[in-house]
Amino acid sequence: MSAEVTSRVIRIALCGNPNSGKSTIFNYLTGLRQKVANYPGVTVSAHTGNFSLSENPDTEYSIIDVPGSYSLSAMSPDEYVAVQTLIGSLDRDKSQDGDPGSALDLVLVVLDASNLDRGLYLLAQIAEAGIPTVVVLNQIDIAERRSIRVNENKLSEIIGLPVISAVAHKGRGLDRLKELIANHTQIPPAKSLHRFNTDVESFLKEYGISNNVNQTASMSRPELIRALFDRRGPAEGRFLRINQDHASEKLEKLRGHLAKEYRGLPFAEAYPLAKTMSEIAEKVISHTGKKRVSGTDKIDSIVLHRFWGPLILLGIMVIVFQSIFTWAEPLMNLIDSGTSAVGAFIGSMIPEGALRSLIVDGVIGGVGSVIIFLPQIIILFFFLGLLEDSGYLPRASFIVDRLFRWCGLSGKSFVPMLSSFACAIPGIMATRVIESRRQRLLTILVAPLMSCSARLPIYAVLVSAFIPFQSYFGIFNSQGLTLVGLYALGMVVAVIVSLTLKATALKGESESFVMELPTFKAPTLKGIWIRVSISASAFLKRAGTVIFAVTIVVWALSYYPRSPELQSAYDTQVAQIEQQSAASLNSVNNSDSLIQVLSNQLAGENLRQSYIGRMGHTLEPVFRPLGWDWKITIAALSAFPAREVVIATLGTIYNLGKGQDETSGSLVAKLREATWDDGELAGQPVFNVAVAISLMVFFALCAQCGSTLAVIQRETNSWFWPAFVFTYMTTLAYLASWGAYNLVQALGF
Amino acid sequence: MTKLSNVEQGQTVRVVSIEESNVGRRLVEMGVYPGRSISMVRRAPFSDPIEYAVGEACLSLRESEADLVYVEDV
Ligand SMILES: Nc1nc2c(ncn2[C@@H]2O[C@H](COP(=O)(O)OP(=O)(O)OP(=O)(O)O)[C@@H](O)[C@H]2O)c(=O)[nH]1
Ligand SMILES: [Mg+2]
Repeated sequence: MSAEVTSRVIRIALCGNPNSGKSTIFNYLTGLRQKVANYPGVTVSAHTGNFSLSENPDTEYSIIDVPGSYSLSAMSPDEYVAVQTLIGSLDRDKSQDGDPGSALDLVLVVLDASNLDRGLYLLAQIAEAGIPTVVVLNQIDIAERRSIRVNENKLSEIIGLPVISAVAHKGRGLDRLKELIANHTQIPPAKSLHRFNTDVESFLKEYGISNNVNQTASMSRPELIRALFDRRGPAEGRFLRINQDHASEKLEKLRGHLAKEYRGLPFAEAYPLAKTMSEIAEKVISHTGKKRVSGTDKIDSIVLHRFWGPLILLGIMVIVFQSIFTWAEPLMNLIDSGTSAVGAFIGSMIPEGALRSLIVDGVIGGVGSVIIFLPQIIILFFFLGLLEDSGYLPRASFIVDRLFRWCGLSGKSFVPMLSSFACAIPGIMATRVIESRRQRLLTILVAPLMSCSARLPIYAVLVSAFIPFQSYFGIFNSQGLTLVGLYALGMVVAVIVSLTLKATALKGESESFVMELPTFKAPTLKGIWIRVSISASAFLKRAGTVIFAVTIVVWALSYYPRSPELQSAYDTQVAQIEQQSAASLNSVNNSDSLIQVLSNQLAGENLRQSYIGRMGHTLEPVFRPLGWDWKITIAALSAFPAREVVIATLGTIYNLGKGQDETSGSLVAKLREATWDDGELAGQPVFNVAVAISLMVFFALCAQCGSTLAVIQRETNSWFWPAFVFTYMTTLAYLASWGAYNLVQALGF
Repeated sequence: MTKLSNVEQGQTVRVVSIEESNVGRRLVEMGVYPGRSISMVRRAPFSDPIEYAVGEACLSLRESEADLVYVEDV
């Protein structure tokens, strides 16, 4: 028996109020990098990690980071996960089914020491499960700063469970937690901390496990409590299925009584429980000094100020997007000259032909021009990290709630929207904290309009190539402001779309906005580093996989087929020129440039005849109204799987369109030199301000991201919504791009 | 007895009762229940929502949600 027991995995669940520090503890124990940030609702789906302890090397532990919740009666999808984890494991009570791996062995409940009563409320609900439980009294550093002391021994005595004080982000107190986990068999199962009134208790007894003849089809106490108090909840359904006879009548009768006595059924659970818990909290808390005005209060009086608050918010947004552009510049130039040098070096090593073209034009020209944007990605996530860790984000929600509500969203949409500036995928996941289904859906539908970091590369290239630099007031400049304008465009369109949907398909009142404003904390370097490194490696991984793959396809389609006639015509012409120049010694320079012209012509002709050239010419008329030639058309279309590909495609196409010795040099330079192949504009530059803006507007609004559509499908559990997003965004992108092109031209640029 | 939404900035009051609703239950779970003292900290720049302090926590409630809570002077 003992061998079997020690070799199995010990299952642990981490529960607690939002923002209490669960993920911090999870990361400490597992060494994983689960996202930690200073606002409620960071973790929205249960994550599992494994670890082992030096005290107990043979045992493997598996720990679930449960999304934070205030109670087990769930209101939003992320909260329901917590209930499922706990009740789900109770469902399959250890003693009843043969599979011990399915039940929890240990629960860690994390309490925020400054808000003890609230944490105890959840603890009391969890304790009903009767699982061995350890209480982590976390954030005692903040409590101390507020002159609050919690007597951990006394608390442990009252609730009958081990309690440890901790400062999780510094690792303080967590060694003792490890010891306790290593000896988890000695931890007592939690016992009920609260007795309900006699009517409720006798109901729980009557239908509880011990009194039920048919043991396998009975409900545990916590599940029964949920069945009683959560009208139309999942537990109620099970209760009615299991207990026929008069159970339904009895349930309704008791509910009726309770609702009358407490003026609301939910309060029949909540009031007595809250009262008991606040009494416990009072017994163990002592105030060590007078309450001081905390730093948070002082900061709040500025950042939430009537007049300064919104201005500061606006200022922060402008600064973030400006610095993405200005700070990254030197680093990007460095990477740019690095990749160009590598390209030139490899080019000189490999003989001319398909292989050289694949490496220089395809891989380096394509993927290389995407990697340049690494610095911008890093800067963006650095700022997001600062904002998330400091605790400013919920304040921003507080400020904008009124405005967001006006367009059908809620202040809680702010964090998902802001995250979408980094990437729509975490942004859409973050909407799980929104309780109202309708507002959540609305947020999901407009989140992809926020300019994500994958759009930055194309903005950056086109802005620095075609928007003339002009400085205003010393701090602002035309290029930075154009970038801000593109971000603003996405937001404005999001408002319009949201208002339209609100007035038509998604009508309804806006719902609850009860939200906590957490204490301000100094961001930790480690926390920011985690975020930056995760996103940087994700970016590089994308460059190495999706973008790489699409680039190779694009290269092959633009390299093949090669026409032997063109090549031999070129060869004879070159031979002629060389003969002539050999005859007349004085025109050496002239013949070199003649050959260069010819080689450019050959390359251009080859590209035109390639598969991609033919496709591009066929499609060109569709995008001609936007000012695009066939190369831009192909580049934009190739970017539908992932936006950054556009840069890679432009890099490849322009490399292939050039003759030998001209493939080095930055993409910016190549775009500036690009000319129309044929038609009435032949020989004139393709790009000007109007074309650049038309292309950027298209990218700002178009749904060019397979992963985002997949996430929308998953989160809405429907194929209709991703199809809807794709259609409306692509249509809007085309129309807006057409409008922008004509407007800028009419303005005379 | 008055509604929580009518409480002036800086004033502290005691909770008497809450109207039945999902939001009401959430408020209790977050520490707003009969007998608790609660103070109004400030209104958001665009006047709604409103920030309240309960114990050591700061909560943001919309006016329509603060309407559900009845309070009395301490
Ligand atoms: N001062 C202080 N800060 C802490 C402590 N533990 C965690 N934090 C910080 O508190 C914030 C919230 O921590 P998380 O681990 O993300 O909290 P969580 O419980 O996972 O939150 P949700 O996922 O939203 O439910 C982060 O900014 C942490 O760095 C602590 O003991 N003291
Ligand atoms: Mg978390």
